[in-house]
Amino acid sequence: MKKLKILVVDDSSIINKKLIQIYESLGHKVVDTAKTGEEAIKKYDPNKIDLVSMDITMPDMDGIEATKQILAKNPEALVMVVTSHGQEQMIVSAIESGAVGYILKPFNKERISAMIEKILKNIGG
Amino acid sequence: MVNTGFMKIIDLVTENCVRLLEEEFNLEVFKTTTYMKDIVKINPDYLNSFIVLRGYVPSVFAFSYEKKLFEFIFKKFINGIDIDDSEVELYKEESAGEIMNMIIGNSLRDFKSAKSLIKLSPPVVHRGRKNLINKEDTEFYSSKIVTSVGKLHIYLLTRPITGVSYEEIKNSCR
Repeated sequence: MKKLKILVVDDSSIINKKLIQIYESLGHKVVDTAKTGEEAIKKYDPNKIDLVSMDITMPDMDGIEATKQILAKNPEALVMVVTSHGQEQMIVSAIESGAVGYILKPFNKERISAMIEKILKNIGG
Repeated sequence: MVNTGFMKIIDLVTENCVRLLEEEFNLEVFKTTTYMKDIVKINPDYLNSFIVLRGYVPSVFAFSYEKKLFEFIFKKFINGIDIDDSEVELYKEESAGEIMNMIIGNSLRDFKSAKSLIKLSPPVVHRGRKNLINKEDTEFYSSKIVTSVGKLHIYLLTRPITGVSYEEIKNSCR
């Protein structure tokens, strides 16, 4: 599998740490983290980041708006939504906004690995 | 009078909580008990997380963990993550909130819709024991989950409302 440079976006520090641990155990590199949608937009650099791991419910700006703005910056950006059950309608909105996949909490290494593989397959990576 | 709609909601939350405890944390669940009447106060335990449900009838969910149960869950939840000693307490609170978020989110997945009147607040975590007393204009529904390492109480605090079924509560939120 292609090794990705990942930006992890979640307002929870513990979830950020769990995601970093899983992505890095899969051989990917977490290059940065963000705790709000606005911070994610500022930190997103298409030259340095292959995939954005995006929470939906965050203070200030949610993951859907952040996804839209990242895709406005780079229409080729890969955004994968990480969120809870009960937010299925939000996931639909995120996909309509251009997100390429989603993971439901509680997540684990296998589910995340399968979703990344699926995303890479879909884009021919 | 017991409202069957809210009883169904607390049953759903309890079922989802048991599933998470068994499947994600490999805990053995011995017994669950759900009840409404005769609750005049709740006794928060070691660690307590709260989520406000804004919607048809504003309500508050509370999870109250016995210390040894929460310590067990926390250890599993952070398995493999390096945490500085100075950050442990902060991460305990975040974990309690995240776990509750997952359970409530799973339980209310049928209440989905962008137009839904149901909105969940971010979780709030509180430590220690301070009794919450039942007032006349509040109903307390509760369940107790007994596991191999400790107990967890789930509470739903809401406004008394009679004659409304679970389906009516759910459908009114679409």
